[in-house]
Amino acid sequence: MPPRASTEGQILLEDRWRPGPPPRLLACRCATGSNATGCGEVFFPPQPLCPACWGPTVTFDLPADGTLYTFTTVQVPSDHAEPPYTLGYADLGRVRVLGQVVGGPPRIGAAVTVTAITVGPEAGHGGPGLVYAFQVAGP
Amino acid sequence: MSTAYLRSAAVVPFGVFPGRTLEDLARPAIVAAVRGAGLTPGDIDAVVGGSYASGALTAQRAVRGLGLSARPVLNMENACASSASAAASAAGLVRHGDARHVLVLGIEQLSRAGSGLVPLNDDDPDVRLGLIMPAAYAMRARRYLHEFGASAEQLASVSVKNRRNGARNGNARFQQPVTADAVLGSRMIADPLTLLQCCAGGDGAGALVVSAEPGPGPAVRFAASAESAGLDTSGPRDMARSALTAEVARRAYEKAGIGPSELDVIELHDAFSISELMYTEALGLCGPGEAPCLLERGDTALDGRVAVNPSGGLLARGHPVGATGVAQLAEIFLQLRGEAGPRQGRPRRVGLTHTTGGGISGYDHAACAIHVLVRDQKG
Repeated sequence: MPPRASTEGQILLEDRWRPGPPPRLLACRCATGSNATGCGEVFFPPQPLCPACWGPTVTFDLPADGTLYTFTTVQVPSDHAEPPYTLGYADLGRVRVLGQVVGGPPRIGAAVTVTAITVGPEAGHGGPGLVYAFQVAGP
Repeated sequence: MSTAYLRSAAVVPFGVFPGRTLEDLARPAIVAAVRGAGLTPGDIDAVVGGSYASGALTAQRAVRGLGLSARPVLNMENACASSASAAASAAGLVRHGDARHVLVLGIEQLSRAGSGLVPLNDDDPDVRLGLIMPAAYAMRARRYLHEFGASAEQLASVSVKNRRNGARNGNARFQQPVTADAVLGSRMIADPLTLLQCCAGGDGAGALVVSAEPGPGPAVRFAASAESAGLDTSGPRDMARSALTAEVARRAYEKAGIGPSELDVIELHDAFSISELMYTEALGLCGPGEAPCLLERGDTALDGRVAVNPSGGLLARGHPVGATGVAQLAEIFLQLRGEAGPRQGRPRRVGLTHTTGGGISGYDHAACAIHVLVRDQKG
C-alpha cells in the first residue's frame, strides 16, 4: 500500500515516492470530479485534499521513465548533500520533479529512470537517508 | 482613496557586521528617513517592518529608544520581498486613510544566522534533496541558455554592468568593477553560475516614509503596488520564464495605467545573473530571449533608455534579504528626484521596483512585489 500524504497538511519528502523495488514517484488525482466538471486534476506530490475542489484524492504511480528538463552540478556544501552533486528536474508524465541526477553525463533531453540512492549527511535527520534520484542512461 | 507618496528614503551601507546590534544597524536609516521627510517621531502613525531571518519583532527592536512605540508596529516576513511587501502595506494604509505617515523598515542581519547561504526551511522536501538557491537559479540559467541560445558571456555581462554601477554607490557592499573574464573565472558555485554571478547576503537596513502628502523636494508617488504569491502547482512550469513576475507586472501596469515602454528606471531582483535577464523579459521590456541583446546594446545601462539596477542591484549592493525591497525603493526615489549623484543618468520620471523570491517546494517563487513610482510634474 502506498504511503499516504500527511493529513496534517505538511507534505514530506517521504510522501513523494515509494522505495520499492522498483522505486516509483507518486502523484494523485482528484477522486470526486471528472474532466467534465473541471476537476480530475493531477497533483504532485500526493495531497490529502484536491487543491482545486478539496475533494478526496487517489494516489497513483508516475512513470518510471522520463526526460531531463534541466540540471546543475552543485559545488558548494549544503546542509543535506556533499558536493559535488547534480540536481535536475525530470518530466515524468505530466509532472516536473526535482531530484538528484546520477549515472551518465547529464544533458537536457536525456532519458532518465527513477532509482533510489543513499545521500548524506542528513544533518539533523539522523544520518544518511534513502531518496529517489534520476539515473541517466549510459551512452 | 488618497494618494500615497514616497516622502523620504535612506539606507545604511550594506556589509557584514556581526558585532553590531539590529538597533544600531537600523537607527541611522530611521533617523535620516524621518528627518528627511521633515517630520518628527510624533508624526509617524504606524511602522511596518520587513525582515526574513533576523529573529522576532525586528521592527519593535529597531525603533526602541526612538519615541516610535505605542502605535501600530507591524512585522512582515515574505522572504526576499519582505520589505517590498511592507511598503505595499504602508501605501495601502495611507491610501485608505488609516494613516497619514507610515515608517517602513527593511532590516536584516544574516551574518548572525551562520552560513553564507540564505537560510531555507529545513523540513522542505526540495531542501532535503540538496536544493539551495544558487542551484535553483542555475537550473533556470541552463534551461534559458538552452532555449534561447544565449552564452555564458552574456550571463556574465549582467554582473559586469551591475558591478560597474555599484562602483558608483557608496552604500554597496561591493564597489569594485569586474571584467567578464573575472566573472567567468571566479569559483563555480552551480554551473553555469560562478561566484560573481551570485548575490551575497550580509547585513543592511533602510527606511522610508510613506505619506499622504509629499514632503520637501520633488514629489514621488506610488502609481501602483501589486503583489502575489507564486502559483502552487505540480505541472511542468516553465523555468526559462518567470510567470509570477509577468503576472504581477501586468497587474501593476494596469493599476498604474502605465506600460513598460514608459519606464525610465528599474530596480529589479538580480539575485543571480540569470535573474536579471529573465525579469527584464517578464517585466515586458523585451520579448523572451531578447534581454541579452538589450543589455549588449546598452539600453539598460546607467545612461540607457531604461536604466536597470543603477544602484548595482543585489549583485553589487548585497542582499540582506529583508532590506532589499526598501533599498530598491530608496534608489528609485533618488533617481526620480535627480539626486543619485554619480549614478544619475538622464532625468528619470517613471520608475519601478521588483522584488521576488523565496525557495519553497511547490511554488515557482514564494512572493513577488512590484511598485510603480512617478515623479509628479511641477506646477
